Amino acid sequence: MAQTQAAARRGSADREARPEKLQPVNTGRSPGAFSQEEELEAYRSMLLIRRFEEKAGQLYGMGAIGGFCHLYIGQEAVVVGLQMAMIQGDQVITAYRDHGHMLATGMDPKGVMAELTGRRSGYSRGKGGSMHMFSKEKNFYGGHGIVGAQVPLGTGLAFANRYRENGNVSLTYFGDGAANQGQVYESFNMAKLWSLPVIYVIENNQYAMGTSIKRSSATTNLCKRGQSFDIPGEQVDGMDVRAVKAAGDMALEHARSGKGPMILEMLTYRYRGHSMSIPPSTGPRKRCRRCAPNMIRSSRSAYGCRRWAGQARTI
Amino acid sequence: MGWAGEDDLKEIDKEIRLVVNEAAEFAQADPEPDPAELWTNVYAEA
Repeated sequence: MAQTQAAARRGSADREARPEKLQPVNTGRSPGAFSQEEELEAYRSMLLIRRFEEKAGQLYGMGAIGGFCHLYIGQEAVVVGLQMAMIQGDQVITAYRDHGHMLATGMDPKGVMAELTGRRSGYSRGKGGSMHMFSKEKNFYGGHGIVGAQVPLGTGLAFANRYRENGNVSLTYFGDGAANQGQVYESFNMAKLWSLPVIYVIENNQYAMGTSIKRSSATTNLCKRGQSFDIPGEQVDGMDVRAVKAAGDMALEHARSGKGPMILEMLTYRYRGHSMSIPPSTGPRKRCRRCAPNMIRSSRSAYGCRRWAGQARTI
Repeated sequence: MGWAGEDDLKEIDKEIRLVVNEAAEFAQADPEPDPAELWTNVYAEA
């Protein structure tokens, strides 16, 4: 009897805790079919990122990787779809969840992995680590540890493009957490004022570290965040590589033709915890019975669960 | 009909695994930075 009650309680907690899938606002634009070549290229790129990240997680667990390590698992379609829409010379800049972006731009997996393990042949000679890698050759500008700091930098890249009239576009990625940063809006203002060729890609994975967007953001429709600057925005199903590519084509065309910045809000989800040093399924959080059984649930409620907070005080 | 069968996809899977395993092995066999690098790339050259 007690058992069934507990099971019922668990069941209701399950329902309560399951994140609802965010649905993008219907834009009327169809995702667009891929050719055979595109389908296989997308599959290959996404698979490379997934397997690479799994290996990085494994090496981290073995102690071969030190420092921070934020895995991109779950969000692969965003970066792969946009990369397929880009042309040679377009720049990419992002924050610390950056391995996927590097692999998508064509950086060498050996160099990236060697940087993770802090070795000589790494992209920053083993001195940068997971969050600090760059490749001028592949137009990848990092790799930034400070939340939101890449947004003014990416806007600067767009300024350079405009100054040089080279026809390139800067793709500036940031997350739903960074979308509440002041410097993001300073950048929006300048980007629109000077009609800079920049696309702000908000990777909305619904959690700023462990905090739900609903608990941290006054408005959760992030594609509308440019409204007061008259920057158009669109919500995209970030779990569908075809939808991402189609939105990327549209936004790149917009920016390249001199119409100024654009916001793409990618509705996505990460299947792992915020970082390897905050693993979702090990450590003290295991003691929280409400959170422990399900990895997704525990990463979601890592900081939101009262029992976990209570446990944290007593541990 | 169909652009790729199960075997074709498995082939891609195998290739990717090979690339990733090679990267991991390389990353563990490669030497650590030289101690002489400790103070390089910290400040811009005057």
